[in-house]
Amino acid sequence: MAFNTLVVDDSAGMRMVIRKILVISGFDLGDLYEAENGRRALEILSERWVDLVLTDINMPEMDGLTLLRKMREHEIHRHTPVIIITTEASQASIDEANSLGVRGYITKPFVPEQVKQTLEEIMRGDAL
Amino acid sequence: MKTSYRETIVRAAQEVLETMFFTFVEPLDPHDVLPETMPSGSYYHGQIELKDGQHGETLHVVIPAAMADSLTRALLAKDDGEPLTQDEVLDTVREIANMILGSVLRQTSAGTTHRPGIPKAQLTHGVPELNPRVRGERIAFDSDWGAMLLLVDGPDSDPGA
Repeated sequence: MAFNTLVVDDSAGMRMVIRKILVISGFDLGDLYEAENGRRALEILSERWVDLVLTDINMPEMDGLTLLRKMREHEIHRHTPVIIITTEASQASIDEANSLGVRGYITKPFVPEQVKQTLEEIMRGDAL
Repeated sequence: MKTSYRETIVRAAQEVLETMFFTFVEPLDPHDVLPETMPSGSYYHGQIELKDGQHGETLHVVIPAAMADSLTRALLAKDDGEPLTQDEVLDTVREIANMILGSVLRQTSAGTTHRPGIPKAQLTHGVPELNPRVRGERIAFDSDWGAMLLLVDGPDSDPGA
């Protein structure tokens, strides 16, 4: 199964880093979409089929936790796997993300292996 | 600024630069490097606020332009000959400030009460003039491109205190 994937981060550089990790990690990548904030991510989600979302939290216009809450309120995206990649490490944020069913919570700075391991779990279905 | 907090910031900067940018820096004696004694030239000035209700501190990162270019190339895996835009460098500097602050918060208890803002960055000609409220020790790092500075301003320079 190829995963159509949406990468959400206000840093174009971080989106590129994550894109490279997706490509080199052996992840079964389908179409790749990018958004610079949660609002733009919701627009893409309304237009395209997305199997996996990797999102930052701290972003202008709409943060990643708000995006996640809105996805979980939506019938189609309620169960879409989401991986958080963020500098935000407060326990409140981690607890909320977990309560909303994220499949991974990775803090920046990170090594590619951390992302790769979570992607492998999703491909195996371990985290689904 | 307490010594332990200074060490926390040093560890955070080193963690970020080594992990994401494959760049190694060592702290200098803080009394050796002051903004007013740094060489003229272009610098990137990144800053990010840390808010706790009505209070707030700001982490400043001052990076020599050539170092910021090199860090950006490392992050984006661009060779020396490849073009680099100023937007790419500004984006990198914002992300550096963001990640250093995130790393500091993870190492302190501040992450439970303080929330980071949206990072900003600008190119300055000469060392940027910093808010006179800047207090505590300035942390300077040695690099191949000159000194990089980290500073914290605000009513309490230790958000973990």
